[in-house]
Amino acid sequence: MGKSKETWKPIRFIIVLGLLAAGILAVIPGYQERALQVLMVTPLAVSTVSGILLLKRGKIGAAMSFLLSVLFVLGIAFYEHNGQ
Amino acid sequence: MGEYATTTLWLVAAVSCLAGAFGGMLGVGGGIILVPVLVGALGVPLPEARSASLISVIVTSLGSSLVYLRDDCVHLDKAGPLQLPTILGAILGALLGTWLDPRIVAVLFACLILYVAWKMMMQNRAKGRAAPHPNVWPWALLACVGGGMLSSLLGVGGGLIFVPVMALLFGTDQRSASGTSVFLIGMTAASSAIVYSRSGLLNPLLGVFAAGGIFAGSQIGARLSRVIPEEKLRVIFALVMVANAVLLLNKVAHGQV
Repeated sequence: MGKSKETWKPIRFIIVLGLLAAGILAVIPGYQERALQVLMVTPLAVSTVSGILLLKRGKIGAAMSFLLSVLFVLGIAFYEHNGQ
Repeated sequence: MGEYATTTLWLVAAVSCLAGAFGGMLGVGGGIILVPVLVGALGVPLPEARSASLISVIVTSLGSSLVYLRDDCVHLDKAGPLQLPTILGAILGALLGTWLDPRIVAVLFACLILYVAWKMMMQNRAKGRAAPHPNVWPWALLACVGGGMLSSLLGVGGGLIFVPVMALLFGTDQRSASGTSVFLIGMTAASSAIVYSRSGLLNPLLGVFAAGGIFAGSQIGARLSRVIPEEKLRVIFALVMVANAVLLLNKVAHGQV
């Protein structure tokens, strides 16, 4: 149990960082859109770190699912961006 | 995109706070409460309410995950394989949501929340932890594609699907099911929110106020889930849902969606 908690520390760090950055940007006038972009990107970062941590634990299937879903969302965002 | 008075924005924050508290306690993102209230009571257009709700679902997910990860209630090894099919469903749903008539979406939403209210009440009758399903993965993957699609179309995170999948198919306890669900809905909501944002359906101010309110609520909710009896919570939640459905259908009937 305790070991598991230690393992997930990097995920918690990314979450705190993302929320903090978004919170700071949200209160600066004119930066609300940037705050939302940070919020939208944070789960992608969390999933990436989760995938890497699971990979290190030998859970290949679960890890690949996390990493592929991140790639898929990035692909869609890039496609939509170019489409505009 | 609509402009909102400061009072409306603060009301959005207050409603989001309550939705976040409920969402954090029950392992759903809070969008199921937020969207009908924003549309039905505050007159926000459905596409904008849905996008703001998705932003707040991301915040609920991140805020509550901090607590659930610390309490070791997130089963990433079980949840991992479910993420990819959910994301595929979510992106399909979001693409559908950019052109579907809001009235149809509103009626679908009302049906969904009435169903959820009924399920919540039924769960109170079935006591104890379910045994793991013998042939779990095909059902779980199918449920997740459908759940992802439905969640992005309606602006909810998908916790409504993840919690039963974890609890009923995998046989995890309710708190672990909520923790794992809350962790996963962040990514589902982010994928849909990115599509809506690129389509110009995201109002930044509305999103920020909803996100701020829901973050405060989710922190309270995840902590309250340790002390409040689950049965009582389900009854309150079901009653709020029925009221929301009536409000939403009334708006559709009067052509105000």
